[in-house]
Amino acid sequence: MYVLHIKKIIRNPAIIIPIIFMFALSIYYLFFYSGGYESYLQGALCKLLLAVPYVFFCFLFISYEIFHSYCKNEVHESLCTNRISIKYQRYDFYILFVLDSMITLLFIAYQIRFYYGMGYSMKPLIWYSLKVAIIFWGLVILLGIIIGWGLSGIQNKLVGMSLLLAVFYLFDRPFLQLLMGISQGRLPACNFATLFCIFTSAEPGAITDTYYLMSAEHVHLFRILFWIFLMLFLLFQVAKNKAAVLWGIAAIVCLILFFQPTGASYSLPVINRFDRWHAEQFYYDNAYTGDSIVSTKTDMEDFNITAYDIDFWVDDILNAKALLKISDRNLDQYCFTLYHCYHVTNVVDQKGEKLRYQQKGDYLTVYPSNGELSEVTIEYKGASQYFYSTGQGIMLPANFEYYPIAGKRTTFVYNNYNTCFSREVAGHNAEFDVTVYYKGDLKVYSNLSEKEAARKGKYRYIRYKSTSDGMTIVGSPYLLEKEIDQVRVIYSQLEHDNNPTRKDNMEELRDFFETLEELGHPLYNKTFIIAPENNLQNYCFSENHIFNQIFGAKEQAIQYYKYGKLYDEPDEEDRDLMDQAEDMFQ
Amino acid sequence: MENQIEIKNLSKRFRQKRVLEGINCIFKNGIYGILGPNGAGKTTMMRCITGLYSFQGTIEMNGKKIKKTPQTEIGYLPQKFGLFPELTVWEMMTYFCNLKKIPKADQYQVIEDALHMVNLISQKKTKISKLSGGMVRRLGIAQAFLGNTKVILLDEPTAGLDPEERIRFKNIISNMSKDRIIIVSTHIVEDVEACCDHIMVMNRGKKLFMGTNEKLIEYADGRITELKAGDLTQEDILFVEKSYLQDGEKTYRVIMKHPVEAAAKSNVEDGYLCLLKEH
Repeated sequence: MYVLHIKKIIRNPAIIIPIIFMFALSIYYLFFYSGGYESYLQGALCKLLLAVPYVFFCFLFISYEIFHSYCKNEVHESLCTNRISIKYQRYDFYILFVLDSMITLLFIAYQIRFYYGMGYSMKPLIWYSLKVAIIFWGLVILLGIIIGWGLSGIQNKLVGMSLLLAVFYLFDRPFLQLLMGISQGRLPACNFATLFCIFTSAEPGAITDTYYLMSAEHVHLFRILFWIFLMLFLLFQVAKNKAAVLWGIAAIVCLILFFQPTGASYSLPVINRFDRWHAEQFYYDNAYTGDSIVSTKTDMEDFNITAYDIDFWVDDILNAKALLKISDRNLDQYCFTLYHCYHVTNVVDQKGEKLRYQQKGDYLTVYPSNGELSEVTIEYKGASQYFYSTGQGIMLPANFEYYPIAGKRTTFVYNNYNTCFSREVAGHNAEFDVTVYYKGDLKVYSNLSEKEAARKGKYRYIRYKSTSDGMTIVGSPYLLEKEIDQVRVIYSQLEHDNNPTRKDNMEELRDFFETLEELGHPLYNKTFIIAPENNLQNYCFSENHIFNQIFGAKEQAIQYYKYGKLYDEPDEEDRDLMDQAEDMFQ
Repeated sequence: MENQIEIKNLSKRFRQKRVLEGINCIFKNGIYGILGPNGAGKTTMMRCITGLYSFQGTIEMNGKKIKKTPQTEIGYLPQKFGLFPELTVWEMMTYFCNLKKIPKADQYQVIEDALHMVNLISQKKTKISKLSGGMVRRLGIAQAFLGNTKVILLDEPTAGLDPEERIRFKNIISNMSKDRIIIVSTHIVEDVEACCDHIMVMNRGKKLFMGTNEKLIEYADGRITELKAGDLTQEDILFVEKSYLQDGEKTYRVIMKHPVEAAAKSNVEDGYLCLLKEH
């Protein structure tokens, strides 16, 4: 039967010519055309993502042509009499699926060849490439095949082809932009819009950074599976096949899973609240515009946290249970700063009694029940779009409030000169006893001292214990540790320009360490975590570690340690202009 | 072996339109012709028997519900019959053999017999796209007979065929009727008259008649007459069948409402038209 179906396809020029053309073009594009993409790590993925819509449309068209031949040649009725309904078309589907697999293999082969060419040959990277290939390439093409199959039943070819174009439009950028225009930044509408983001952005921003690479997490799998199951449901429903019910249920399950909270950090081809570059701006535009100022602290704390005992479970989202020891026991209320995306689920005191609390934006206020509070345990969960903590990677720098900090602090600086997370760390030394539970093949590092590493059930865990004024946790399959001039340096081996093993970078790094010594803040026996290149404008200086890129670190250290500056400030010309503007308004 | 299809109270509705209404009949081995004007419900009934349509009522084949009958026992030539133009005659027949789950070892012989039967063996390597309309139709008949078929349903099998092809078709049907039920739906009375043992007449979704050719002819017995142009005003005329020139004068073959004395010999077409016009 397969042979007959293959013959049917091969002998039809309207089908075989596009297939040959598509494969030839793909091979040329992947293996013989550079286009400037192959000089940097994200080039491989960008190049592939750029081709996805075109290959999707090719398969949409080929699938439509193949299945439409039943309708066009009026063979449906004589075949349906054999009580096999759409089942007789399954051979064509299998052939198309093989073609899909072949082109996906091409994609994987290209990626592996590319990474080997650049000197990256880690096993996790190969697995990651496979995952990306399946989610963003193989399943997207499969969706095209199924949609083409579904539309093939339309007798009028002009109508059929118009619908193919409409489908393409549905998943392409202009429709997403239209949806975003309608949604006006409302959270559920923005989330709904991401459902149509099948062709992931092909811009360099598609890669988050060299810790995480491009997001290939479950949410993307659920999205594409939802569409596939939905189309199969419609296809089987029209054919009055009982299997439609199963596909329908599967589609609903995938849709529910898609809308579950996720810590996946990804870029979208349009401005959206789920786009990592715009998520914070959307939030602070709406909620904090008036409060965001350039300052180190908006409200000094009335108390200190002397010790932290925190358990972090890194999954699709971050789950945390933090026990805090408090310096002053007799306050009416205790205010903490905790990033607004982490939702507090429970607060108890030293006796285990539940405490009343109020979480508003980035601030959490806890009200002691008996007037005295020496310890408080806060349970919370959630995820940030920008600073991720999932099975794919962890980047939680000390300047980010992913654990409760005493007092009210500005978390995000948003004015004419700066759009960034606040760069201050907590400022007080505290005893940290932190355990990070995580899955997968991550290598997890922190500025704190590692005490224990083992496995517990499906999780692996690392326990850290030391005194510090802030805690940075990073994790990625690609991280390495190296000692340079008695400084512990942690970096991603996928970094190219920002890689400390490069000779010029090594010199830059040594110069930076010397400058720190001159400034009176030597980093010997401390940690320097090299932030990934895409981690723009985010850095922090702590007593026992620095989280920053190599380039610019020296200048920023001078600004901070010498002048106490962490942010850009208006120069004299800007100030004059501002004064003039003020006079005009008066 | 005696086969039997029993249809009880068969009804079918497409939204508000009732297409079949309370049809009861029994088909046994032999050739049955279903006659009816366009829109009478012939194709719908065929599709109900093949299981393509859901319906109200029951259709049983040899005591089993038709939906539970193995697919290989029913052969069907639809009204709009097409094939894959890219395949050859032999490949297309192999395709149908696979669908009917005919074992690979038997396929060669089965296909050869079927192609011999419809006189297409010499075309076995020809691509479907190169066949004439009549040849495609014959191939359609051949595929309907493939396997251990007990019921053959042919929907408008002679539509678009030239006279020679139609004669060939009638011969094929006549030779294949042994141990099978063959149901031929058509609105061409001559085809039914030539090869069918029994006739069923349908109109507006209802069965008007089922019986032998002779029984149908009896409906028009004594009511067929030939009239000249001047006599056409008679109130007793039910239907004017056709006109022709006789001795240089235009003559009309007419069905009368009541028997007349000098009646012409009636045929199946007269009986069929008589039945249609009276109901």
